[in-house]
Amino acid sequence: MGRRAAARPPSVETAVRRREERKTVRRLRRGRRDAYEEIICGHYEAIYRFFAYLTLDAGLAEELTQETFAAAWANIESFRHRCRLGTWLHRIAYRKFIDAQRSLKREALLKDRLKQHVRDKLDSDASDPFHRVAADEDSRQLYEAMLRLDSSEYMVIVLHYIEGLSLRETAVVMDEPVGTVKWKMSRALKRLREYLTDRVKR
Amino acid sequence: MTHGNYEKEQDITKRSLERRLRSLADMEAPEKLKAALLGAIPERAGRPHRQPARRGWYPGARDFGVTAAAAVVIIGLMFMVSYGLSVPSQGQLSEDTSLAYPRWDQNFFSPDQNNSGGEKFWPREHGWPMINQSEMGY
Repeated sequence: MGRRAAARPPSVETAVRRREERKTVRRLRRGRRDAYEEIICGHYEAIYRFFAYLTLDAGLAEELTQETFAAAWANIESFRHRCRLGTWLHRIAYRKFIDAQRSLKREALLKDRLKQHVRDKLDSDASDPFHRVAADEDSRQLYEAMLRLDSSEYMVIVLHYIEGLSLRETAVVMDEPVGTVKWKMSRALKRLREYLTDRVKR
Repeated sequence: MTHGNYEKEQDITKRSLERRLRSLADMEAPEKLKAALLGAIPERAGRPHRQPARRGWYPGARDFGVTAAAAVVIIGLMFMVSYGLSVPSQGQLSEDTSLAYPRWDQNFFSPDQNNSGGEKFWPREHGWPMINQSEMGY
């Protein structure tokens, strides 16, 4: 786990959300089907999107999303409400991705595959999850710039800006101190701005 | 650098970059994935799931148990300190050396134990000296 941030009193909205989440998890542990459905409907899109940006492969993203939820159901007893359920699911997803990356040695392959993917296939395949990204020129440029980041910087950008996790939650998912995540974030943003500026100049 | 490019460069501020990054989140997940996930809900869902007994405890019960155990240990230590332990002390051992050393054997007396420097050694032919037991502490 990442280091704990300074304790701040939770807002009313956060407190209500946490209480609702506790109730849902309690129902899930009792084996209530509606609790399973609630969690799936609330989180599957975010987990899929996370995998889609990491793997750049719709099929693999679907497969890993299913594995993530299966692991979550198997380990729900170990969830202690120390973070949001969404953060916990992202943490499982992150580990799944790391395992998949290790076993298949995909990293280099993925980079090449993505470049090809973005340039050639996306704009022709409307069913592809990246179709909308590729359809917009600005988004496409930004995405290509993101691909030039280090994998950890890319991960921070995806978790914080695309998945909407806070910096503390990003640190929890990546199992790194918050300070390191902040530093990676600022470095990634700086590099993105440099890439995009260079592109405009050219 | 043309004026247009300069303006474009100025536009890429941190805030605009963040806004553009957040717009990438607009991605739809396939419906078939949702159906697959709903179909993969574990079998135990829908059946009453018996929780482990420990889960049914009052949340503070474990803390209470730990506190009670600690209190018992502390009281036990205080009791032992107050009333003493039956551990033999060093002083008791040094007082009674009869068990630690062999008793004086009157039939065995070496010249060294005589502490006479050899001058007052009783010749063997005169027989063994009579030991005054009061001198030996008996």
